[in-house]
Amino acid sequence: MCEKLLEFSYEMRSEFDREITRHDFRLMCLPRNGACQRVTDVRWRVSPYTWLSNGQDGFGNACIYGAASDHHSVFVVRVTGHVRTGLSEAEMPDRIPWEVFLYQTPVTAPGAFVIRYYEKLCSGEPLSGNNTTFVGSTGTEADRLGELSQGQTETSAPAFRAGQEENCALRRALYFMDCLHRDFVYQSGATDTYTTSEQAMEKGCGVCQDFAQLLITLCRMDGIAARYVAGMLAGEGETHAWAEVYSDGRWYALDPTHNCAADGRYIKLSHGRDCRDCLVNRGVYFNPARETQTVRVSVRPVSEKE
Amino acid sequence: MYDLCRDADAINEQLARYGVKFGIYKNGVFKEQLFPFDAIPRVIDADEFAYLERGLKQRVTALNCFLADIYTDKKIVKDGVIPPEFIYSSTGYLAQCEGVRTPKGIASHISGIDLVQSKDGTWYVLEDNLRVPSGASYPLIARELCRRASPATFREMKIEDNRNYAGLLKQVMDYVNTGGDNVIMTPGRYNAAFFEHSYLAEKTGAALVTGSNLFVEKDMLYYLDYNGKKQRVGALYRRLSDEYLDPMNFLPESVIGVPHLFDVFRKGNVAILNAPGNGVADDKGIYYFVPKMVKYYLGEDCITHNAPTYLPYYEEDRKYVLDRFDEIVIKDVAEAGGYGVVFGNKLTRKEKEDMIALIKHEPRRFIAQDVIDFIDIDIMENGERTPRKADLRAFVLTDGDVSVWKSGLTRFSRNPDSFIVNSSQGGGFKDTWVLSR
Repeated sequence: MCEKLLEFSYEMRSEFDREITRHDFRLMCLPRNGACQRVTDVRWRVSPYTWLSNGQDGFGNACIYGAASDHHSVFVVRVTGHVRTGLSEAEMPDRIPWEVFLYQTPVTAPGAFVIRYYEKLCSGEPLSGNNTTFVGSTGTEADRLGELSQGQTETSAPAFRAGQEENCALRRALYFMDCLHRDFVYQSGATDTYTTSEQAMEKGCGVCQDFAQLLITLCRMDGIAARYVAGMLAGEGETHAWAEVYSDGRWYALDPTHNCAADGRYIKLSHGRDCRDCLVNRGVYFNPARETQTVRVSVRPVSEKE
Repeated sequence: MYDLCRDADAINEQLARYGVKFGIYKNGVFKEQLFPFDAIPRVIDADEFAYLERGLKQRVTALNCFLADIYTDKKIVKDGVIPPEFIYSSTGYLAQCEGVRTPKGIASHISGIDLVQSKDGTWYVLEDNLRVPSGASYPLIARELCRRASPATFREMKIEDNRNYAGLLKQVMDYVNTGGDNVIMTPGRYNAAFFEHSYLAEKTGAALVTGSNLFVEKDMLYYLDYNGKKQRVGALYRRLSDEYLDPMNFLPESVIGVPHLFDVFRKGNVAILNAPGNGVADDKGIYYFVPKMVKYYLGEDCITHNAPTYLPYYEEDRKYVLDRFDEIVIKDVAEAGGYGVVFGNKLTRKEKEDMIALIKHEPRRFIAQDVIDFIDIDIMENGERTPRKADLRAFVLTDGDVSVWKSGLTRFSRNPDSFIVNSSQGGGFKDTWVLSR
C-alpha cells in the first residue's frame, strides 16, 4: 500500500439571479473515516446561514445541514483539511450489512439495454470496442487521469489485481469494469443527476456517476453487493464518483471511469446504494430563481518531512 | 337496535353534515365521497374479544420488537429467521432509519390490524397496517350519533364504551413526547382522511398543523400556534407517508414536508407517530413471517392466525401456487388499498399465463393465499337485510402498555360479488360493538 497525506479543499458557490429566502440545505461534503483513510483535520464554513447543525445519515455519512432564512443571492460552502489515505487496500464491513447493497434501486435497476449488455458480457461474446477513447472535450477528467498516471504505475489496476486471484466477486467486478471502460464513453454533460443506469446505457455515454452506477448495476445483476461512493480525486476539478464491491468480507474500491483501483489518490466523502444516497448538496428555497453552481475541488499530496 | 335502523337515514344525513367523508383518487381525479354508514352493528361478544385482545397485543408487541431490531442489531436476519432479501429489497425499508432508536423504543404506536372471520368462526389477520392506519374516527363519530338517535339501545345492551379512543391516543402521545406539545400533522384538506385528522386533533387537544406551519431550528422541531408564537413539538402524529416527510432526507420534490424533520427525529428530539420506516414490517411479504417473529422475540406461539400464505420465493410454495392457481388469491406486495389483488379463477387464459410468467420472473414480488370464505354480515339495503362481506380493522395502541381499543372499524363491500372491502374501493362501514359480558 502507498500511504499518502492529502490536502483538500471543496468549494461550492451558488449564485442566484434574484434573491432567495427560506433556504434549507443539507451537505455531505466531509471526508469519511474508514480503514483506507483517516481525516486528520477538517474545517468548514457556510455562508450565509441562520442556523447550522451537523450529524450523520443512516449509512454513517457525515452531514452538515441548516437554513439561511434571510434574503441572499450567493451561497458558499467551503471545506478544507487533510486526509491520510492509502492506509488499507480495502474497507472493512461496518454496522450496515453488505446485503443492503445487493439489491437494485430505482436508479440502478436494469432495463432492456442493460440486460442485453449484461448477457453479452456473460456469453463472452467479443464486444465492438470502437469507443475506447474519452471524448470529454471540456471534461478535464481524462486529462487529470493522464497527469495522474505519470509516475503512478504502482497503483494502476493490474498491480491491484495481482494478489486477488482467489477473490471471485472482485475478479468478476474487475471484468465488468474493463468492459465498461472499453464500451461506455466518457462525455461530460451527456447525462444529469437523475439519469438512471438504464438511460445511461441506452445513450452509451455519460460521466463518472454513470460509470459508477453501471458498474453497480452489473455487479448486482451478478449477485455481487456493490455500493456507490462520492468523493474527490487528486488534482483539480469537480467531485468524483466510483464504486465499492464486496468480496471475501471486504469492500474494494474501483473507479470504472479510469479503470483502476480507487486507492490513495482518492478521498471518500460518502457511500450509499446509489447517487441519491450520496448527494453532495441538497437545497430547497422560496422564490423562483435561476441558480448557477460552481464546484471547485482541489486535492494535492503533502510532502512530509521525516 | 330497531330504532337505529329506522334512524339510519337520519344518521347518514348527520354524518354528511359533519363532513365524514372519504376521498379517493380515480383516474387521477380527486373525488370526495361520503363513507356510507350502515346501522346494523357488528357484535363481538366478550369472550371472543378477549381472545382477539390477547392475540393482537402479542402480535403488535412482536412487530414493535421487529422494528426496533431491524434498524439496529438485525438479530432476526443474522439468525436466519427472515431472509435478508425480504428486508432490504422491500420498498418499506428505509436506509435513512438505520441506527435510529425511537423514543421509548416504540415504532408502531397506532397499529391497524385487519381481520376477517371465516365461516367456521376462526379469525384471520389479513394485513398489519403500521404506517398511518386510518379509520378510527368513523366508528367513533357514528357511535356518538347512534347514542343520540337511540339512547335506550345503549342503556339496555351491555356495550363497551368506545369514546375513550382519543384518551388512549393522547396517552400514547404524552408517553413518547420528548418535551413540547402534541401535534397532528395533516397533508391538508385534500387528503382522503382529512376529516379524521381534524376530528382527532379536536378530541385529543393536539394542535392540527400542515407542513408549512412546522419548521426546524438547530435540533428542535417547532410550530407556529394560533397567535403566531413559536412552540416546541414533542410528539408529532403525522398523517402523511414517510417519503413526503422531509425533502432534505426523503423525496426532494416534497412540498408538504418539513426540511430537516428527520434529523431532529434521528437525534431523539421529537417522537414521530408512527415512526418512519415502519413499512418494512407491514409489507405483504413480511406478513408471512409475523408468526415466526412472535416465536423469535417473545418465545410464544402466535395466538392470531395468518391466512394460509405462500411465498413463491420458496420453491415448495411456488409449486403449490402454480398447482392450485385457480383456488388462490395473488397479491402484489408493492400495492396497497385493495389494488394489485388478483383471484386466480377470475383470470382469462391469457392473463393467467402472463401472471404465471410474472411470478416465475419476480417471485419476491408476490404472495399467494388460500381464499378464505369469510362470513357475511347483514346490511340494510332498500329497507331489506342483505348479506355482504365485511372485515374488521382493530386498533392497537402502544405506550408503556399495549391496549386494544374496544371497538374497531367494520368495513363492508357494497358489491355483492366482491371480497375486497377496502374503503379506497368505495365500501361502507358499520359500528363495531364489543359486549362487556
